[in-house]
Amino acid sequence: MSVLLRAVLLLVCVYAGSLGQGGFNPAQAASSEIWLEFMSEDAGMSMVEVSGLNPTDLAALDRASLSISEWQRVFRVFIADDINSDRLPILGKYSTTNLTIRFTPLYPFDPGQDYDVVFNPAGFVDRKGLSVEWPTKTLVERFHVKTSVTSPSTEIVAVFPSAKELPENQLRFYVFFSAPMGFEGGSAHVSLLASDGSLIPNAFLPLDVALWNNERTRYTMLFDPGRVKTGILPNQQDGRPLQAGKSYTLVIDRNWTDSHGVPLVDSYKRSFQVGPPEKRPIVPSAWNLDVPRADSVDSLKVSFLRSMDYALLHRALVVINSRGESVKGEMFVQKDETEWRFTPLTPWSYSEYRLLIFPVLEDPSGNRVNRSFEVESTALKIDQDQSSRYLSFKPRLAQTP
Amino acid sequence: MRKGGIDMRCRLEQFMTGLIIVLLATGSLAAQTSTADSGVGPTLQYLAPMSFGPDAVLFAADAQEVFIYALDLSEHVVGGVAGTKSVPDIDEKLADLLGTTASNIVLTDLAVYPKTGNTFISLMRGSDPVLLRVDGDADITVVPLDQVSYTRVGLPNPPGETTDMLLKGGRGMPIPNYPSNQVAEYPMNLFGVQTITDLAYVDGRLYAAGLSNEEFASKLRSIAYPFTSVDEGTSVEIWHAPHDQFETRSPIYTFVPYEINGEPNLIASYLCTPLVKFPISSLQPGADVRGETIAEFGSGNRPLDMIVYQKNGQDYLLMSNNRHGVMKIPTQDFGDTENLTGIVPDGATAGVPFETIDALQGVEQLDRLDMDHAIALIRSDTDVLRLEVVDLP
Repeated sequence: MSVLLRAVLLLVCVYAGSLGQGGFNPAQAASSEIWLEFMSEDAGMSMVEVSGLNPTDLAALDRASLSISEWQRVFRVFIADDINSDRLPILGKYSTTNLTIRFTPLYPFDPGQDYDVVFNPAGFVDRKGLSVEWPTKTLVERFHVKTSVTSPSTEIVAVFPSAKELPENQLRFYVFFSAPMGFEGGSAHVSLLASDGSLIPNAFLPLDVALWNNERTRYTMLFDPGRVKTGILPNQQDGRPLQAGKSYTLVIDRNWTDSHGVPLVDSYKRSFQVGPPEKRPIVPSAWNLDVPRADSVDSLKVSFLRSMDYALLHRALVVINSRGESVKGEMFVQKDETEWRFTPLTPWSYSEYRLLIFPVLEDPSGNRVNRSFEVESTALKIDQDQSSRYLSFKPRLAQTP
Repeated sequence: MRKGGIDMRCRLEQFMTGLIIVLLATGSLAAQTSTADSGVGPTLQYLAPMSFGPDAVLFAADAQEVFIYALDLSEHVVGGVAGTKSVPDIDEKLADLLGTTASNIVLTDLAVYPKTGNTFISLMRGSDPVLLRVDGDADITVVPLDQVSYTRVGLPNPPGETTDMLLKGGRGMPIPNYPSNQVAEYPMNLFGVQTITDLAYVDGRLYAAGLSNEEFASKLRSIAYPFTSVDEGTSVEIWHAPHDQFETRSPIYTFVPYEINGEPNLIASYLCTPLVKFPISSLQPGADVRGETIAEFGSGNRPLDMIVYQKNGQDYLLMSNNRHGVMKIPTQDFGDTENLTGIVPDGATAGVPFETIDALQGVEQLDRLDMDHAIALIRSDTDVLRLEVVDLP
């Protein structure tokens, strides 16, 4: 409406009012001119504004330094709910600008969510210095926030250990995702099935401790150690969740949501056989080292003769040179975690190197270097030898033709 | 090979051997350097577990980044009505206040501030950690973490480039903490990837139980408070020898300080089911720390929270479990319980006698509220969460 027309309308209204039609409020004309504006993150930030208010009124409100509860009597934002009218208003900050009342929620509005906004100008207990132009009519409006991501895109890329046959006393699985996941753990989504398809109850540790890596792209699923370890009550009662000679299927349902709250692309299934428990300690002296050529960037290949723990292989082995410096390069774990390959950034020199093996190294059953996971404690003394081991090697001279 | 050459090599071998032997890594070891700093407005990735310390300090772990914060809540423990009033449908109410749906929030812990009896709740709203207070009027307020002063200690994860390893004879050698160029994802052996599962403050020290998402180990850390940056904190590895038969390393999931016959102990629950005790004095570097078994539980059953209270002049441990409800355990036999030996018969639990409180089902979080009450987060059969003041049984 043009300014002139507005002015004429106002004059007419005032005139009509002065004719004794009590109760008419000239602000009624003005109230139809207030409106709500809703913004969410994709517009830059989350907020709701009431626009079209008289700047003098806004200034008065600003001076009144209202509390949150006073503001909430007049201006409230809720999660939309058609059934339950008892919802609490969203917490946030109330402020005034030159032209608007602004509500900024504590947290951004959620993608895909509906919000109800109520502006009830008559809600102030006292007039707070407001003019007669202050609106009286309540405004209610529902807003929808666009969903940012709808279609599933995150998937499970690998589960370790990767061997086709796993030991009966395995302690854990690592599940790798293609993108960051939400905070929820795996308890509700990972199950172990017997060969007939029946569920093995209580196979995994029933705790929702968040065993994620920093990026939440890897989750560690622990078998219930009470069932795996010998001589513990659950082991006595229910036995190990995996039993040698049988086959099982690991199932991960797709409702495990990623960091956007979207399910996985697909569920995951992997069948495997189970063999006897692995009780041997790790013995580095039995490893096979395929020594690289001097002056080359050939890989050093270390074969363990059986599977080691995938994650710990990335932390427990380091190559140091004769000066005790760590050699920079890239490592690869391959062949069902039976082999570790290391490619240096700069060529090997014809000198003494050592492969340091830190005592944190485990196989999937928790056996460590020179110490099995379960040790008969007849002497009632813990083996304190936690020193590192090393294997030394010297790059070989290339054959001269 | 010339004789001189062989001698040189032998000496080098001996040197290196000496070096390697003293590389005490994740064993029951010595002091580790912790980095301590302070500021206002902690940037947390996660907020749990929590435990009140002296004054209005709330210890809270950021288990994702592996820091332990001492949050100064002196301005935020005041202003509420004393006590805590039950709040039905609390997950819905919290979701409403935070502008989201109940499915987008996960309540991670609760802790009662003893001086006022208000309950503090930590939760994750999506990927944002939130700290709230519930008071005696069931009023829920958000603690503005961006205004909270803190000190914090970073558990070595990841540490600096090298660590000085002591050799025999007192010499040190810097050992690289990172293998090759894999810095961020795989810090070196010594400082495993930990998530903190429980915290408790006793007599000037903060105890923190940690669980690794890689190795099967247990770190119980003891850190002096106020936090300092100089070589504070000891870390011990915990062992478990059930029935004196097979001994393994053992992660601790939850624990509570308790005095037995005048000596400070920790009552702890292992990840593999037993309830154990050990004196705090045993948590010394180099010591063999083995919990003495108090009780064992069947599979699928894990203690979540433990509190100690008194009734009719007797002490009790109240333990919430993920499957079998809440157990009330009299502590009078803790002092002279025979270490559980021998194989436990089928179908039994073993150890000190306990009583299951049938009236308390679905308890997810528990803390002591006052002399006669506990505060609990309870999930009903219909998946509705409530905050409830319960009588201590």
